[in-house]
Amino acid sequence: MHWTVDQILALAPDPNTAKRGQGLANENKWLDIETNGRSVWGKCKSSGSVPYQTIVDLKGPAFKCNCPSRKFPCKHSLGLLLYSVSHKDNLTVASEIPEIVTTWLEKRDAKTSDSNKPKSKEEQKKADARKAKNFNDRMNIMQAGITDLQQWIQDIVRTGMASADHNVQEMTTAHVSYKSDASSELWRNMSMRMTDAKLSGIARRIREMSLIHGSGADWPSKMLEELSTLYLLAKGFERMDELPELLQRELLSTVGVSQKKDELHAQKGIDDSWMVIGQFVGTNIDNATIRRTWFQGEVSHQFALILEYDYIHQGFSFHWPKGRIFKGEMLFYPSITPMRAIMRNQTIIEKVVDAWVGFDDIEECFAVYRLQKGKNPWMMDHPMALNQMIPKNHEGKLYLTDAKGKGVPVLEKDMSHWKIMALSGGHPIDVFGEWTGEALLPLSILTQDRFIAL
Amino acid sequence: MKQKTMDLEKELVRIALVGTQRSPLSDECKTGLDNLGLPEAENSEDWILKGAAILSQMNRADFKPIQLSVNDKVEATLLDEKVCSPTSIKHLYMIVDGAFENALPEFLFNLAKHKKCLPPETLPHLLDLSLTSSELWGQLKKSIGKRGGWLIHQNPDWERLTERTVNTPWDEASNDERLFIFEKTRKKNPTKALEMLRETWSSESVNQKVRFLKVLDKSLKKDAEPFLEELLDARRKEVRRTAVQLLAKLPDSSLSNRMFERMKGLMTLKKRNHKKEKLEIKLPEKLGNDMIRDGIDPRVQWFKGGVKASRLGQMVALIPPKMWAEHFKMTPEEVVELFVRSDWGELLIQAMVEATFLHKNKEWTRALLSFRISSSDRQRWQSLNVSRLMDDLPDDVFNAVAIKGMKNTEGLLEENSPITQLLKTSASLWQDELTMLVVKNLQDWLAGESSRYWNGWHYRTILKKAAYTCNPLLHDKLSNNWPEESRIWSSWEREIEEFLSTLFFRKKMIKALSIS
Repeated sequence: MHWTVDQILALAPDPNTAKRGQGLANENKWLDIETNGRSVWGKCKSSGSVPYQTIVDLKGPAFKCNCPSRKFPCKHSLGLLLYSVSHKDNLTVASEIPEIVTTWLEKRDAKTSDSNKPKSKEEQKKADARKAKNFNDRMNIMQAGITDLQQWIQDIVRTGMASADHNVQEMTTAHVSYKSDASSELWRNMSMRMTDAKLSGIARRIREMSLIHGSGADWPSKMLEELSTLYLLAKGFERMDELPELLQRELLSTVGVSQKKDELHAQKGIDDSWMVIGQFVGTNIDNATIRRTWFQGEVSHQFALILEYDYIHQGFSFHWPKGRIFKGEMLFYPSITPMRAIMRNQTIIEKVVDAWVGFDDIEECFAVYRLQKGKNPWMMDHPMALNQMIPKNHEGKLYLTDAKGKGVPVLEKDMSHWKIMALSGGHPIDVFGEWTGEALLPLSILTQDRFIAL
Repeated sequence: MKQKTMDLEKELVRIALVGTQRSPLSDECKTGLDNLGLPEAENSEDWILKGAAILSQMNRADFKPIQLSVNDKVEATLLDEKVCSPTSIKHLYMIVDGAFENALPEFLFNLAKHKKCLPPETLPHLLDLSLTSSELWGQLKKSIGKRGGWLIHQNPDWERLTERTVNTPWDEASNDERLFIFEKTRKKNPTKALEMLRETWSSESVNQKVRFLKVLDKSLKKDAEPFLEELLDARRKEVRRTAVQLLAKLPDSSLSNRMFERMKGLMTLKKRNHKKEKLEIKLPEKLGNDMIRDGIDPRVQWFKGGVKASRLGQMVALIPPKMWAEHFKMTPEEVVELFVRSDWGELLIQAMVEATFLHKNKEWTRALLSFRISSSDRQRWQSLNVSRLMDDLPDDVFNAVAIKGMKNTEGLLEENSPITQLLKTSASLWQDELTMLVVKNLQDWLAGESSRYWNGWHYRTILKKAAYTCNPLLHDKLSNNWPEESRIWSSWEREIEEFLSTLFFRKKMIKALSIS
């Protein structure tokens, strides 16, 4: 793969790391830079007595550095890759590959091939039996939790939502500003009971509900909506056996039974060039950084969502540069409306996003949305690519309108309303975002073949 | 049907809010739930929750887009503007994201120079910044293009940035509007503007009068002198003091001449054998009403040495510096020397700094700064404050003074020295000679220093300043000769790296903007 400086800088987690990485793309900063064709390594002089050992696997790329930085890739990794690109014809080819490099590369290779390694029949049988027993045990615990949940929700409606606990501290979750208070016992206790019942998805939603109480004039309707949605979930769980298999999977995933990545690796995914068409980064109720990266296959036109959490704020292990394209295999979590996925064997390509497939008729777009929602009542944020839209201000709100004048409201995020207006200049533009059920959260724009992340 | 559903929804929320134990389900509500296809449930809570869940699903799935007009038309030219290249856009993002934020003025300058436009998505952020910085707006407006002009009119906050027009007549306009009308008229028809001002002057408040005088300051000319002279007899001190300042700034004003005539009576140039002439000064003993009228405050002590000395200082501060040079037939440097030799040297020089600041005189700024920076008698001039002269310094004056100062510096630049203060505070662009002198000084110091505990913060500040004010084409030259073997190199490596990477960035940025 031929890397350009711009492509490498696009991998930087932030502008400062890019800047420092550029500063390190200098021979004076390095000792013993060598390559074996597939990878490049070297020692970067540090302020301590021992230099940092940095390795870049050009296949990917992947990075390893023993510096203490929590940024990924760190400035040393970027600096080394930048240096190796600008001096590719003069790099010393190693006569002997250091052990640390060999070990790391072998581990990387093993990781990708492990999931495909066949197990013996007996081993497989034992593993399946163990898995089935564990699953049944868990289902029993969850069923008890679901009964508890239904009773608890009914109790709230009987005694009145107004008398439920309330709170004061402000924080922002994925889309909405709420108020919160750690002393909110009612919600916290129930959330803990749900965690004990292995219903972590429900536990998190109950913690988020503590923020709704008193958060605005319409909090009672938001609260009833959330309570009733959980109630519907509980009712669905009770009748799980009657549901189609894929909807069962969706329901299990919603309540908190996540599928192991190893299991995903066992299935066949969709090979395509996956365009990174939008990304949302925010904080959830547990103060974890949440990143939703949206893709669309260039050939398949399929949307995919890579959802990641960073609970200890050490940075995400992989950077998905917005507007770039990765060739790779997208493995979807089983669902009746498959969206969430992981990617395997991804390689960034030189081309950038300059078009996507979307709707230029808003009503057609919502017809598809209704169809999806009808299939999957627990479907959360839905990707929407709206093309040839003109932004218009109407009664203080921004709307995207199609050629027929049909308009959808747009949520505001970091001056996104004004950026949309500026990029449009009153002319049609293509907008990608997440439909929250009430409005579109815009994430990116395409105009005159330019991709702009909001 | 839709209305009925909404009513049912509201009713369910109301009941859930107060609780079913206080507010049971009404018959109407029961019918509504039944119409949703929900037969009566085991208990009313279950019934309400199921109903609310169905309504919520229906609302989400059944979103109806609103109908808006399809007739808006926008000029097609908005799309044809020459936006800067993708590389320049990346550079701008790095600036806006904070990695090189101080490079914004240089980016905008070069963007306008090469007649390119800003990428539209950056306009909202930059227009917001411009609301609090007229300097930024002055640069930005050259590169916002037609699209930016269109966008500004979409946001009332940004509309304030555009050329304002006021159509209200002078005698009906508000205070702010009249300031604006006066400023505009003064530019087009100065005499008429003064006539308008005289017309309503007596009915203006004191604050408004002072605000008018500050506007007049922007277009100060000899024709305003009679009006300003009249204001010396104004009742309020604030008005008199502002008028004095403006009269003092007027070239060859009667006030300056009167003040210098008084000064002549207080000074004698005494010739001395084998020594240079000495200026002997008598302090003003009595203060007549004419001097008070001309702005000398009998009681304040703005200068050291008592009330009389302070009166002398006030007189000197109101005299245009060039009058001294003309009177003594000397250069500014020679007059400074003459003042220094006087027994009242410190007072005269400090008052001269004030006069130079008031008159923005380039030669005198240079003479006074050079004197302060190169003076060997540190003890005597320690309290001489020249920092006001360092603001808005012309580039040539800054470089001349700073180069002279650096050449006179041996070893470490001291933290509180005037040359350090000058290098740290001035926004002027550095000439290559100055850059090389400062960097060489730092390299020599790093090579010889061994104490990690002395941090040299002022060098770090100077380096940060230099990163944006020196010539970026020096990058390659400046990348050499750093004493990496120094014992304190590790404490400085990051700052040096940052300095060089900023220069490198600026070099690339300017190059990218210059490519058509």
